Amino acid sequence: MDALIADTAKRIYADHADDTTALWQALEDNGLSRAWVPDELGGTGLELSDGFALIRQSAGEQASVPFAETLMAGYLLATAGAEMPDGQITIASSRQYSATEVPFADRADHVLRLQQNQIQLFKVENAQIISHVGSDPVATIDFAPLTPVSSHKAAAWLTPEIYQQLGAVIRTAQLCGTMQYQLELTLEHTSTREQFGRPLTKFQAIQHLLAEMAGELATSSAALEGAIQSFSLDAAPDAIAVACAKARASEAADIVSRHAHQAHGAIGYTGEYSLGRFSRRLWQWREDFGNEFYWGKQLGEQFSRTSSGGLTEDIFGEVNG
Amino acid sequence: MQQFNFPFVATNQEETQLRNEVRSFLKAELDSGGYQPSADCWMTAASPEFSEKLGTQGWLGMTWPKQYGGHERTTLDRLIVTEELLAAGAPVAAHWIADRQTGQQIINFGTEEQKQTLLPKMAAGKSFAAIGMSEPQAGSDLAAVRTKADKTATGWRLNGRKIWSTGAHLCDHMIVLARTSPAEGRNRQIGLSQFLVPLKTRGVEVSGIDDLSNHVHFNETLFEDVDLTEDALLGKEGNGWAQCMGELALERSGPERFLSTFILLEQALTVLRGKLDNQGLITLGQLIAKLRSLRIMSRGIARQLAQGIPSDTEAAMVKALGNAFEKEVVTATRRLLSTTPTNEWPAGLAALLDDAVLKLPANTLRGGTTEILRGIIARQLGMR
Ligand SMILES: Cc1cc2nc3c(=O)[nH]c(=O)nc-3n(C[C@H](O)[C@H](O)[C@H](O)COP(=O)(O)OP(=O)(O)OC[C@H]3O[C@@H](n4cnc5c(N)ncnc54)[C@H](O)[C@@H]3O)c2cc1C
Repeated sequence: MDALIADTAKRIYADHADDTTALWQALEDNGLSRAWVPDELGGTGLELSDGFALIRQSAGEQASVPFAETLMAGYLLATAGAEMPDGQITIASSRQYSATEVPFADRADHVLRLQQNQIQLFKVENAQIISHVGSDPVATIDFAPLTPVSSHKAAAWLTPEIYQQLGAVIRTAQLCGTMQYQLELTLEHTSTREQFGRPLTKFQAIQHLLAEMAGELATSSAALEGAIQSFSLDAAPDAIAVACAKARASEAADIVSRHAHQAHGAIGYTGEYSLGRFSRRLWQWREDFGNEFYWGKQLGEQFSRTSSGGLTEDIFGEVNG
Repeated sequence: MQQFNFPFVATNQEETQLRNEVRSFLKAELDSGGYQPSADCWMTAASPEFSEKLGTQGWLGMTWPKQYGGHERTTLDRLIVTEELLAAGAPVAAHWIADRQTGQQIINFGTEEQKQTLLPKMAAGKSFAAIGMSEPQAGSDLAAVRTKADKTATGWRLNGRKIWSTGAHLCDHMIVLARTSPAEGRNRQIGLSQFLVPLKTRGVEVSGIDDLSNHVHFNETLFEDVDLTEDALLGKEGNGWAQCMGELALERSGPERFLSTFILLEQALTVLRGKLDNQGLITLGQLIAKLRSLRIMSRGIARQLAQGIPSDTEAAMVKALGNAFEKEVVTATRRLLSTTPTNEWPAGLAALLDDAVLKLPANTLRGGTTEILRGIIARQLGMR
């Protein structure tokens, strides 16, 4: 990512660590919440990869705001050539199980959903906060009595599957950002905490936990990059690259959070210490838009089609002749 | 925190062209009975004839200078060829080490004469090389090697014993890590040197060791008062440890660290297509997600190596993840096949599965154990 953008974002998060309203205002004022809205629609028109990097970075910050969701909303509205309203926008259908459990639905200014080829924006008053594995607030919405405040015809290629794929890659970027945070936090903790007269980092068992975490993070990041490279503002992404990314990172999230807690000991199990909040993000995001088993099944279907030439062709690329 | 770098490398048209060439060659070879696909082919399936054919195709020494019989192609081109050979389970073990590391080591450190006489033969698939690092007392703790070389009037005299050298019985040369001066206190990495030793020399005795499946593929090599010429010293006296680490980086960075069992999955799928239940589909899909991620990392390493960016830790990481994946493939394939009676399996599949199972214990040991690799990653993280 452009170092200037990254630094700007980092400074904003640091300056407004305790005040999400001021934080959001600063993100908006600096054009970051409109990263994926093109210039001509009043946005910042950043590269898609820059937006993904911002999303990844935001997932390693303490603040709980629908930044990723708002970026996704900007992307979706842009594909319909529609302008994006100010404020926070969250998106429906984020969970594989239910389209009505929506993070931040109780506080975001708008909720976006894709319904019959229409991108609809709602003002939601009836959201009911529910208890949830994640640490971000999640609320259920009853869409039945609601009429959209605006509705825009989606591009023909923007099917529900592609909506889900976009969400899956965004969650993958968040998973990577959170796993990186956990690795760094665990490294810091184990370097300072001493037992038996030496820092925990000196125990080989602890070293190996962290080495494994680093490997899971790196391989998830590689898969994420593959998926991001296949995105554009005006065409469907590579479904296989997306499926691999979400499947890999969701699986990694399990290992990384498990090892992070193991290396932390009891302090990591408290509500006050940040590790747990970040684990809860991982446990929510790994499910959102399909977990590793959901995407594994999609991939399995793709790669065991009877019409396929062979695994070599499928993995390394079809060639003619 | 220290980051690990795996730049994304997109595919291009020429790449597809090269893949196409290798694949047609392999298909023709397979159809004409030129080889039987096997698991772990790069380590255990040696066929000097097949290696020579690859040499003729220009697929050995691909990145080496043309003046030494190489082809001056990119690291990525080499990666494409090796991926295809591994995916097909082709018998590539004879030349694998020479092509992967020994040739490059000679390019970096050899004399002009060594380059001119040895490299063209290696690139032609007519001369093979072995790795002489491990010793009975020096495994993971490589700096504990006791083999030693003493200066003589005409060169060096080598004494000692190397063990586990893959394919040495087929090789003309071995790069031997030996002590040339005492360690300095606790620093045992000092005083080591590399030697390029012709194996058909008086005093050298190579004897095969049966592996677990009773095949001879690795060897013990005894060096008894072996007189070497001066130029057998590879690189600088006392620089052996650093050179050896460079060699290990080449040894660890390739796709053979995650594709050793791929052929098993490929062949199993011929009977499983269209028959997998949901659990089977999930199992298969999760393997695919891992494999694709490893490939992205592996291509990133190839790009970095081509740019001269050191990637040792990245290679250690891919090897650790890749070796675990190779084991997982075998377990998963057993699970996927478990509901299909063996009499419905295609010919050769049962043998291939047995083969993979028998070879599997070695993958997390050779080239540095998983524990050692994790130690390397932990060091990069600043923990040691
Ligand atoms: C099939 C095969 C082919 C090979 N080919 C070659 C070859 O061509 N040339 C060559 O030189 N060598 C070769 N080797 C040898 C290989 O490099 C060694 O097996 C490897 O380095 C491990 O050494 P070791 O077998 O002595 O095991 P050891 O070093 O004794 O290790 C045994 C166990 O202890 C663990 N251990 C050791 N030290 C530590 C530590 N510090 N911390 C934590 N755990 C530790 C290891 O991880 C392992 O689990 C080959 C090995 C195999 C299996």
